[in-house]
Amino acid sequence: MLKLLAKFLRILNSETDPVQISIAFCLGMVAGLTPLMSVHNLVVLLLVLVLRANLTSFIAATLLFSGVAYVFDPVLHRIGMAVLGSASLKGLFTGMYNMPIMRVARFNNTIVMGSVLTTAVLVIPAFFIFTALINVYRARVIEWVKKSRLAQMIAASKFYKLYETVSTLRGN
Amino acid sequence: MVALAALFWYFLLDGLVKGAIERYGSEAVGAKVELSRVNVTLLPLGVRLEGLSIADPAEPMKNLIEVGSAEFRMDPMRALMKKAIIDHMSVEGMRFATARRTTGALPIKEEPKPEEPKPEDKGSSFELPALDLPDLRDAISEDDLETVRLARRLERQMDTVQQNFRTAMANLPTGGEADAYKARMKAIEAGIRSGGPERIRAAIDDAEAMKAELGGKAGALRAASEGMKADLASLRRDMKSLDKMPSKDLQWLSDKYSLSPEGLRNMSRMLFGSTVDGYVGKVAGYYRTAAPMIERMRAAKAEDRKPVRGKGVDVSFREREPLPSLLIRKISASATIESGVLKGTVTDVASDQAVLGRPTVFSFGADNMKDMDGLSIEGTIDHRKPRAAIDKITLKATGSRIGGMRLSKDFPVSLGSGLADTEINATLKGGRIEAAVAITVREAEFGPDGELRPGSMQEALANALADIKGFTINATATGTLTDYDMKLTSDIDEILKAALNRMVSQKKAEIERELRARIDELTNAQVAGVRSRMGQLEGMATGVAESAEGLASVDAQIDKARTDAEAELKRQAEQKLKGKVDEKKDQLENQLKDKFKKLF
Repeated sequence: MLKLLAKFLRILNSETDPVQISIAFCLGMVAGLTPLMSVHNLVVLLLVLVLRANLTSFIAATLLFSGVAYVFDPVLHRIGMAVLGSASLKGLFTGMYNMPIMRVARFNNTIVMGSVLTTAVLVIPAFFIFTALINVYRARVIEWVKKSRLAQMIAASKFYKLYETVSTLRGN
Repeated sequence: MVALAALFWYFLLDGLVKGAIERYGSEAVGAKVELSRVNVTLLPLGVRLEGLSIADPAEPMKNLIEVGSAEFRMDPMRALMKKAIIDHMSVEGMRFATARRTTGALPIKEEPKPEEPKPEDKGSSFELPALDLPDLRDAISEDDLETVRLARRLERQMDTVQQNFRTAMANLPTGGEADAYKARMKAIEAGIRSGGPERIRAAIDDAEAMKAELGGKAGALRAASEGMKADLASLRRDMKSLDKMPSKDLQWLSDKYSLSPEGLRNMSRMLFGSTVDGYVGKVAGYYRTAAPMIERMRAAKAEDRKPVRGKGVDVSFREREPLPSLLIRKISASATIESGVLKGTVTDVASDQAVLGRPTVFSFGADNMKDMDGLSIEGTIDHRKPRAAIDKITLKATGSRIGGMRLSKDFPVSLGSGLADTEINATLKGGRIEAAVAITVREAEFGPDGELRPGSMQEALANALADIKGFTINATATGTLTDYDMKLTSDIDEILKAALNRMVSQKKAEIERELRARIDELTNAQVAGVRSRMGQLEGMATGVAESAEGLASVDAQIDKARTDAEAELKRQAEQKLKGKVDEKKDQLENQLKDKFKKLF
């Protein structure tokens, strides 16, 4: 876990395109908020690979939002129940219910429906928010950390110099 | 990805399916479900199970059922829709109640289920009335007999009558008194005949005095005589009862020593009840084991279920082709039982019959089995309406070879050999069972199973059974699976009853003779004594009556003497008056004549 976090921080601090990181984070949000073993997450995984989104960020986001999903499960269930129980959509859902592929997708599960709809609504705004946050982080937070006394003390230490040497040798 | 999927399929899927069947199957049954091997095929989508064993939750060291192999294919499109639709399943090598090497109990116990009441043992213990009597000398005493009690009461009554007699006789005049009275009477009569008025009056007074003296005695004697007559009449009635009393005592004693054949009703129930009940109980037991599994197969509705965290709830919509979540359209099965191999089919096994709209129907049969000519088992399990579920089963077994079947643990007679044709029809509706069992046994050979005491009821029964070559048993069971009432009849009842009645009648006559002798022994002296005294009292009563009559005749004599005396007095008075009148007349005539003479 710590290794993953370290890797994620390194990516944030690197020159990687914030859009890539943001896309990865958005896709991770979808995978994390929705039940993991769902058909639509195969599509998400495919998008991660096709769009060449950052895998580390994707995994980190998935884990983070899985935790968030656990907290918001009852809300997602209620949203799903409300949508699936809607009289105006009953015909549509009845048709979908009789399609094997849709049954595999488990669209009629309240958590799946609630979480998919929620992530569908949130994904676009989330993309912009994440992109902005990454830019702000790089512009201000990194500088602030570098200027902090603690960072300066660490940077001045022999241990840090040794770490830089090893890191250079390893090609990071 | 494809390679990963292929590797997954090849190496892991079979194990996952095996694990899932074992886990969910064990939960459903409540005991271990184990599989030797599972083979899942993709094209076509199918599963082959080998070495399936389902432990018996009630007897963990036994298997409820073992299946050699089971194979089926599934509709893949329906499978994607979470419906296991199997057109045909073949099951081979089924065996029941096989022994296990390891316990089949689940390691983690569920909450202890309330213990189901065990069905009552409906078989009766075999009790025959004993024909042996205790020693009558010790068993019967005088105090037990109504005859003796009545005789004693009569004796007391006779004592009273005798006392009354003595009192009555005390009123009679003594010999000397009687002579004196006779002499007085003679004097009175003489005085009346030949005495003058004074003497006649004196005789009358004496007669009245004598009448007064005797009158009280006569009244008392008359009353005593009447009383004795009444007492004797009552005693005569009681004597008649005394004559009948020994027979009543005999009847009472006969009943006391249980010689009535009433207790021999429904012999067949005693003989066959436990055996038939065993079969019914076994079938009920199998149903009780299967019933929870049948119930669990029914899916709960989405809105009735609470959402599990992270799992949510699956909402159902109307299906174009409604089907239950599990449907096996046809199972071809073969089962190995003690007598041979049973083959048959089960159709429409569904988790929700209400959705399917058809009940489950099963039909099994076997020919030329080891111990019987044929066996067929057919039935339906109809839970389309859960509150009106009806399960039916019909079992027919022909030519079952019976050997060495002990009829009852209390009765040492076995059905050594025979052929039985059995038909069982049972219906379970609303938790209540109604079953009818008809068994026809032919070529029956009964024989004793151990030593039988000569002359005993058991021997008589065994001999009667030995003559029976064929019989039928009809039984009905109604009630719940754990508490049913079984009625059993057989044509063997009448045969056995007749045989035992003969034995009982013989024995009864013998016992009655013994009882009669004992009763006579105890009562003859008493009764004879009472009769003798009765004779004496009759004589006494006659004497009293005669004495009373005698006194009455004396009284009449006195009355006559008095009447005669009064008549004599009257005559004498009239005579005297006539004399005076005549004298006066003569005087007057003479006076008149003198006066006429003076005139002329």
